[in-house]
Amino acid sequence: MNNSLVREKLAYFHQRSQYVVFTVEGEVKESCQTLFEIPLATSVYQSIPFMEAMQEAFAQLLVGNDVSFLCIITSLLGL
Amino acid sequence: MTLSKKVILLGHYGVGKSSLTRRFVHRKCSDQYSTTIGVNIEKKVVALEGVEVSMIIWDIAGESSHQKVPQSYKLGAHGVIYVVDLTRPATYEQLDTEIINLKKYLPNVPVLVVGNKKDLFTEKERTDIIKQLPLSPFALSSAKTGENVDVIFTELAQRMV
Repeated sequence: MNNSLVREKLAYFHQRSQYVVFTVEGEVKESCQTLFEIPLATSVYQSIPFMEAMQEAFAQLLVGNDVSFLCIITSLLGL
Repeated sequence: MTLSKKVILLGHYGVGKSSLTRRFVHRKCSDQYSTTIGVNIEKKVVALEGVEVSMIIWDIAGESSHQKVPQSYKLGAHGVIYVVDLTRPATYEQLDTEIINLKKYLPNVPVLVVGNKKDLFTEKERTDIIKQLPLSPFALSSAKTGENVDVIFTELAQRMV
């Protein structure tokens, strides 16, 4: 892919994605807050039902493995 | 004590997975049909004797086989409700094979087979349809009237703890 396409792709997606870094216990350490505000030290497992359902599975995920979901409709932070 | 449990609803499109979920969680049922895209996640806490179960219900878009459902949606599931539509034989003709395959993928996970749209039949018709099912369902339900909806989810909650 040429550079202009990469630039276009990054320009498109950076406004439509959010990165949240959290510990194994679910405590939010960092978040870019692009789509929604999630306070630091909040538990993602208590705030987002989707994450609550995945808690066990994430804990068992091997280092280097990833898991992806195509389309999720879920409440966030009680909303 | 509250336990979190992931519940997935599987079955063909249009069998009533979303209606059952809506009935159980929101006590509502709509006559309007809307297709689920991806997965819709709802949560309801069920109180059992001595324990609360936080049921996180994954209402997954209908597929003719669970093998067409992305594996990540099934990952970590603690319980399954497999829904068939009693009015459409195509939704239960392969039921036995489906359940066998599903149990290979999710061993030791309780699976409840539910025949939905019970309200559309007389008692006699229901008896005839049950004879045609490859597997005996746990229950027949009606999302429209609410019949057996709580029974199904509560039974699954009990089997998951």
